[in-house]
Amino acid sequence: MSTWGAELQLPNLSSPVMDLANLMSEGEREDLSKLCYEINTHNGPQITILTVPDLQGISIEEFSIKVAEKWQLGTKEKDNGLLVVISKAERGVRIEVGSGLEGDLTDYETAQYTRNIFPAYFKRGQFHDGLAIFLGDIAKKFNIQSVQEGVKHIKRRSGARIGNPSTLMILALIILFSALRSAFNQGAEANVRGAVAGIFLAVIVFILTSSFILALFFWGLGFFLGTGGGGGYGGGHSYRSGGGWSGGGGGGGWSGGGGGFSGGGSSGSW
Amino acid sequence: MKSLITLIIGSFFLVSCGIQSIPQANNSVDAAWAEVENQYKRRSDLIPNLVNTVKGYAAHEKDTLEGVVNARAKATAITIDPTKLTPEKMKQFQEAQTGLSQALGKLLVVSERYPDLKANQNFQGLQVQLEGTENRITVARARYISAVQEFNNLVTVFPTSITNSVMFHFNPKPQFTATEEERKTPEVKF
Repeated sequence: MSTWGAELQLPNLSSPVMDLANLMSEGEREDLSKLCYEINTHNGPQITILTVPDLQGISIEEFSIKVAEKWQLGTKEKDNGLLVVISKAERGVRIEVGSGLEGDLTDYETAQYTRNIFPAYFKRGQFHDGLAIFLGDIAKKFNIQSVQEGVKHIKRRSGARIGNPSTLMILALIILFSALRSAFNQGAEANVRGAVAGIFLAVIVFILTSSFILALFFWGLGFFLGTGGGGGYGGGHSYRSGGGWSGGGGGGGWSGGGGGFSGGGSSGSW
Repeated sequence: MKSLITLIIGSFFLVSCGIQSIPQANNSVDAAWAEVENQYKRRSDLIPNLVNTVKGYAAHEKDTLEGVVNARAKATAITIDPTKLTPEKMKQFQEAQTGLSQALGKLLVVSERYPDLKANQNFQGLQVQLEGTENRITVARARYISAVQEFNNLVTVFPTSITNSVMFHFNPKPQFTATEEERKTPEVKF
């Protein structure tokens, strides 16, 4: 209780995705923002995602309720705000549920995300995917088709996963380098080498992980390394949903509407 | 025109004097207290189910289970009308709730020894709910503390204290204090 009300640096609300810890790319942030706007404009809850480098020495529960009290997400009438806080240093995550949503989203339901689904993604650095799955599920609760469509392509993960993708990654890297070596030894043109290495890798990765996006990524990587190019590498994951709806992204302002929180939700670590 | 100005200045004067803010603050304290009791009640409501679930797996932890049931009975016996909040009643309430917190803490420590219980879906659900409720209690208490602080400032600090002593005669409201036991007991983390 001693820290309650102590001087805390709380961020000002300006967008549905406040990625202060820089855990996601610009494109990923935009994508999630779109989903949040879409949910909100269809009478769903006002969801905001906050990532912070650290919690300034207090518990995630205390930090998150402080932020929720400051931002007042949701409307005054419905108290339908929803805040997701992710802290990088403590590897903590919390879903703070507005008091009007506690019936729709019980603590136990939120715990499925904070203890199982989120850690499965966040451990791999897939913050966007984990959060998009969550947004998709919320949209389902509120019958918002467009958002569900927007996240359909994202692969479901849960904590109890048998195949460990990190070993698959290492395997893929080993294959990558041997593929490159053989390509170089053949003495082919740089572009051909690149293409061969890229396609080879992509196929392997696709077979192993059945993830098209990952395969695409490795194709890019293979091509880049194969051609021996030295320029800046700007591939990265391409998660853009390209959904059927035209949210217009950012659009209007994003500010709380006086929604109240009373400490519902759950926390977990990743 | 003159009377209008007088009215405006007068009402400003009254506002700053606490004629409005003291009753408002009083209402906030009542509401904050109701929420505190509500969340504690929510916790007691979870207990029968929790005790039954644990019983199914750890029936011979009779003492611990009985401890929880008794502590719950004590805690639910004390409810306080917000308008009659006195330091003594507050102390009783807090002691009873702390007793329940400790009994619950023990029960959860004991539960750690039963893997089958820990794997039980119902038990896991109850744990999450209990944790959520504990957090709601913390939030409700913090809000009560700040509501009381505001109210007490109004009734004890000049100039609003004058308005209080002339018109309302409110006493300062009792504040939550950390009891000896609370200070000693480490928080139970699930």
